[in-house]
Amino acid sequence: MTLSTIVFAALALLLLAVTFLERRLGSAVTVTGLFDQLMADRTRRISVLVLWWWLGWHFLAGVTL
Amino acid sequence: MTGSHAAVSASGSRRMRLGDTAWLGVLVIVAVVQLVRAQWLDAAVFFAVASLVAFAPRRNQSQPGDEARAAQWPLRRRLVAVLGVIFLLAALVAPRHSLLMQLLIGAVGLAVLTLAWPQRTPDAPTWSPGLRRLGWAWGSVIVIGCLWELGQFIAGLLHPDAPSFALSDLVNPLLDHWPGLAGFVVAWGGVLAYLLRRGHS
Repeated sequence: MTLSTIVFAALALLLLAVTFLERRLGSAVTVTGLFDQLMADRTRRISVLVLWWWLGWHFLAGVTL
Repeated sequence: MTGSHAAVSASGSRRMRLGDTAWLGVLVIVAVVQLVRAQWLDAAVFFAVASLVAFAPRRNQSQPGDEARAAQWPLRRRLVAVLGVIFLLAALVAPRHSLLMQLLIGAVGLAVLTLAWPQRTPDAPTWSPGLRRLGWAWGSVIVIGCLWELGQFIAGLLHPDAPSFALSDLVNPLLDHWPGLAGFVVAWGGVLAYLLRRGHS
């Protein structure tokens, strides 16, 4: 297993862990609720979308070095 | 997450909040990194989107037409679904990094921008403490990932012969085979559709 696999698996687990912990604290928040809140504002919405879009561009279409 | 409230003019427009500025800062930083990577088109996209967002009028009050525009959302969702299926089918057969794939992904980007641009109901709910904590936690983890990527990129510039542990080195081998590529396209498109559906009151 390479270091990149470990690092990104750890980051993914961390995202799950903080979400689980927040639910355990008793707040009724969900990831969907978070993104509903985040994407309600146009500046945040466009920023998040262009960043996610670029990830696809980078791996599927962009010219690689 | 949204920063302090800004003054509202008689027309209902508002100046940029601290939170808006932070997000614009993120876009500009990513654009600068693309310049360092000599990816001129990527940099241009980020600078262009940052400029669009920076200079677009902001509103704090509902205006005539808001309800009509909100009523169009189900139609837009169907349009997104149709475009999404067309895109997925095409991207599954288009070679990676080919002109066809670039046109496909570029078209998806324009469609997403068009669908996401219209101003929604300005009366967005305030952030609950739980949402705020979760938002900061997610943001921090994602920033750590981005800093790791940046570090790997810089390490690659300084020591080109040393092994790299960037996300690309994890994902690219998966995309060299059709099942991995198909899985990536479906997952990426699925998250894009999920994000586009968020934020409607």
